[in-house]
Amino acid sequence: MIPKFDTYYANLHSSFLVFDKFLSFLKNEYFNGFILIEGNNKKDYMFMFEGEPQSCLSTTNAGYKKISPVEFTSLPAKNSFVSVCQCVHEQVDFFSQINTAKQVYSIQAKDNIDPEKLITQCYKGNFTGYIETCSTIARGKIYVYFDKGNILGSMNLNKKDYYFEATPDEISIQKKLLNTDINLYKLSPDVRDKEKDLLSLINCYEKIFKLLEAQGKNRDFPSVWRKCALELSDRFIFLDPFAGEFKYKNGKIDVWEEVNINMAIHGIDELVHLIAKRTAIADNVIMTVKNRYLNLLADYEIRQ
Amino acid sequence: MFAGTLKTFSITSLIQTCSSDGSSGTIEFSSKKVVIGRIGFKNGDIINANFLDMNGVDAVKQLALLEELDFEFNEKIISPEKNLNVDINFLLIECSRYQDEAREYIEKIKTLFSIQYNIDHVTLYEYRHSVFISPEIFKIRYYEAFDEKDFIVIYWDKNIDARIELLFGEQILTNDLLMFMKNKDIFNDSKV
Repeated sequence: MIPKFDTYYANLHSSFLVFDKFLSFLKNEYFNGFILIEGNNKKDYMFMFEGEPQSCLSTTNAGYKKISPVEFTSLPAKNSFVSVCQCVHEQVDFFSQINTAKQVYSIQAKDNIDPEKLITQCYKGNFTGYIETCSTIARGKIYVYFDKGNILGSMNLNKKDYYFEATPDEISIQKKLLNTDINLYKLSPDVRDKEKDLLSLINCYEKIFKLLEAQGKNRDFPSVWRKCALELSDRFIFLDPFAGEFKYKNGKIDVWEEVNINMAIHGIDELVHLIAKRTAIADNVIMTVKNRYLNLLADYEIRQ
Repeated sequence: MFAGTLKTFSITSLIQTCSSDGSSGTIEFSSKKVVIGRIGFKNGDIINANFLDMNGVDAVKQLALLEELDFEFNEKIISPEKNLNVDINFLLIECSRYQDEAREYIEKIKTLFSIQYNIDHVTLYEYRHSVFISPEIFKIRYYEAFDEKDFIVIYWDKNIDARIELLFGEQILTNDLLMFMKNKDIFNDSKV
């Protein structure tokens, strides 16, 4: 569960907020923390580090699910409220992955586990995740968050507004863990299958290249794309047609495997738009293909 | 035990009274029956003060800006905490100076906003919204409240170190207002 942190901006009504402009405002403030949109019985979060969007989460009945930044920015519906909470980098890192939490252990109160030993095990095992106690009338439900074996903080659901305590007293935590049912959740950070992503994205741009080639069939397409690639090669070195790191032939794109996937995708994206511009082909030709890959493109910060 | 509201009995009079009577006990200040501030006395000396997350002189100065809080002196509550060790006369002068500065500043802010906005009133914030009284989320630096016709903004002003309430006579875009306030350098980035 994501706690509340120091609130920078609170209760901003979606009707009076131009959301894109607000994001730019936070970007210029090098904001660390998250944006929370509340409304229609759900909560959506965008985590930011130094003003740059990290991941976005949405509440569901089963917990949290990851959503794309594009989906998040199109979210603020009528009568929703926006808050902005500040937290440090480690907290942004931890809570932006809370959707990956999986229960790994369940301890019954009757097992009489020693809380001190449990915490020591979490330290020694470089545990990243959280301990959740089951609610009791006397103590309520508490969460103790661990990041790489260190206590990141805690939250007591009995306290109003679920506020995050960054420096909880270990002895008081031990007391709270005593004689209660405990669940241990481990975060399993989302490791992307970048090879698979690259294949899908290359496939997307191959379709775009084919469309551009077909639309400008009276032109010498190989010469057009090479000229455009050369133009962009000061920023995207791999596009230099003489370097042989990027090729397009017979509807197939070939990128040297050593090229960073983010760099490759951003470079190819700029290239197809430049080709369209130079050959006077409307951008919506490109969009017809890109629309089918929106979520994946958004994950790599390609938005148009 | 005596009780009242700061509208009719100023904080400086309260402190003077407790001091000259040689009182021991605590004045509790509350908004909507929630205690949000305290000033403790021992034998007429002021020994501690707190208001939300503020302590000592800062807490007394914040309390000095408010008029709508209820207060109650309770001689049974004597906190051992000691976070104030200043001469009462010095403290009273500090409070009066801060009140004057704040009043003057409010006029400046009124002029500043009226250049760009149709603003109905600018006042020192009286902690009427429960969100500010909640002990753990009082660090909000910008808050909006709406009703059918009013658009209210409450923000922490870095120049006067106090919360100010703005009531606009029109509905405005949050983005524009935030940029305006940032450009006028009235936001606090650190203390809140």
